[in-house]
Amino acid sequence: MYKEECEEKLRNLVIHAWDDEIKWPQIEQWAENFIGTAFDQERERDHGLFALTRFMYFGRRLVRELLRSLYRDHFEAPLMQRIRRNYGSETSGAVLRSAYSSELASTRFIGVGNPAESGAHLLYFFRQVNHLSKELFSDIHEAFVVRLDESGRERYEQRNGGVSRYVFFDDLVGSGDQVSQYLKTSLRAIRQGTPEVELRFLSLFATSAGIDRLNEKQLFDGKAFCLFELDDSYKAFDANSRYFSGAPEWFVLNDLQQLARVYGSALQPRRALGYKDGQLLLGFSHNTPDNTLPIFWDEGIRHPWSPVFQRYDKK
Amino acid sequence: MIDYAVFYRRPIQVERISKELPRFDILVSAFNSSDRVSGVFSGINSVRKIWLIHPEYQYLPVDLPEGHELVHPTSTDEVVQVNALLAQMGDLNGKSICVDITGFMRHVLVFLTAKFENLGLHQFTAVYSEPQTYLKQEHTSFSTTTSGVVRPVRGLGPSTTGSAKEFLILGVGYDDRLISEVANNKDGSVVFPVFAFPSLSPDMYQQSAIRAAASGEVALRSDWVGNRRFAPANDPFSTANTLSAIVNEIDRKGGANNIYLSPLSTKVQALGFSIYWLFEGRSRGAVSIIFPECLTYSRETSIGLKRLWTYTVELRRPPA
Repeated sequence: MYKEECEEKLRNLVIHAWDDEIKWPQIEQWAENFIGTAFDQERERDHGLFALTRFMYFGRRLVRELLRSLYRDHFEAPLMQRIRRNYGSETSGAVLRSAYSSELASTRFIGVGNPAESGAHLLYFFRQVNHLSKELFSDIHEAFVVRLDESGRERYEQRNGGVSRYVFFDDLVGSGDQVSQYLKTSLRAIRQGTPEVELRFLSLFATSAGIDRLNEKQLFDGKAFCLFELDDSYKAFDANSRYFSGAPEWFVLNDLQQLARVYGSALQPRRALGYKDGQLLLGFSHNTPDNTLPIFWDEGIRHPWSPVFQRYDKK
Repeated sequence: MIDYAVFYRRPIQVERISKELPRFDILVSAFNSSDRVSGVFSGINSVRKIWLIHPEYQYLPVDLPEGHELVHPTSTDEVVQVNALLAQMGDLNGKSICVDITGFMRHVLVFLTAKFENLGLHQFTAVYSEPQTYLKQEHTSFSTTTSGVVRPVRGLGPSTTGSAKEFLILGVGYDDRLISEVANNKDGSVVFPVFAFPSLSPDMYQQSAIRAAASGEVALRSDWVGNRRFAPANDPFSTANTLSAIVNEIDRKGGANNIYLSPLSTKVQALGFSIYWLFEGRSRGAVSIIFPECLTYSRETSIGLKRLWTYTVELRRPPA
């Protein structure tokens, strides 16, 4: 009975939540990866498919909707409210909108990382869905010129003195290590050269540890924000894991963990449960984070494997 | 058109509730068994605190909270419930009012908002506590029994045109049975399902999509997929903005159109539907808010308190 229920749930997910971007044959091929290496083959496949019903996949339409919400609800609306508070609540909407336009014109959105990476890549869609002018987008080198102070330390001076706010963007913050390494020097140099500018950070998803890291004083000093914060309950095998509460009686979480570890070790020997033991069950149309369990995304270079949410890994 | 971006809203960390919110004259909250409701009730500073005991929760006298004012309406009808509450609240003139909408019945919340406006209240503060997770994920039940009747909220019914084309804008939540009842009642209307997205947590969108897929025939229709729209689960003003955009889109195509709004998702979205009706739907005409009549409702559906949202609900149109 549970097999039919599980299959029905997956078919509904494919149609109603995953926008048909994942095809049924992909799911079948993925289930066939489980050949009884960890324990009984049928039981392995049942556990794998049940875990798949808990996987959070965000297709193209939903990612665009997240980008729309990030701008509308977490940039535009707070700024409009701040302007209204400053002008007085009885100020006309036309005056407030005009002030907002000026604020927006003095803002630059900057993707974190290389232009070919997912954060910067998503900024194109961010611009598109929010009808923003391309002049509002930049990168660090276009925005700043590097100077050296007396002690030889870099300081970044603005090329355009009319900009008062830089908003850095990424799709997912894992541990915060990468973005911290990438930005720490730059943010210090910006504050050194142009201390009056406002520095903000926006992302779609972030782990609690990652967003806390970004909110440290030397980084964004409390001005880093994410749409969805992933605490430890989003780790598949954490004691407070949220994915499998209410699971049927035949489902044993330790068995799933054994499955993920046995196959994950063959696929990604040093990160069987995901980068930095991420244990996430999360994927997007444009890529699957490496913090997610590799059994879902590995493309089978070390060990034959058919992924269901393929990750396009960096070489 | 209203610029919904100007309305004040912000999240508050759980441990900072008493520090971040001002002291109110009257706090109203609908009692239920969720810790998040009782925690917020005790955390907010207020001169008076009133528990509204919805009959739908079916509490026995022995279950009721002690130490604060109680309002215990005798009927599920929204007019009876709101009148009982207002009688207890007394004169509202010059009072600062906070309503925790977390445990409210949707039809009562919608009617209360309209009634506040009708009484000349300029604004009130609504608060909503986000759960960490729902008790049984996609199997969580909210309403437990309904009468089978789908009807407009009193006073928010239509002045419809008989020959008009009908549109149903449905706030999609976890309750497939309610969706099914409304869709069947408005059989023949064009459906715009509004999904709560971004959801309160990333796993909840899929859970609601799975539940909604069980709503029967409506979920198999092409308009269910083709007309799909999204509004954040925790933002009433963005929800009102989404409704405004949908109705404008419908009206741009011309003709006489009857619009039925049915917010079956979060209480925040129900508040958003109500705000849209007050600011735009009422003056447009032929816009009504409809619900299936719920007779009983689950007392506890969630685990934990993630954060509190506060919304300043202004009941007068801001200057254009």
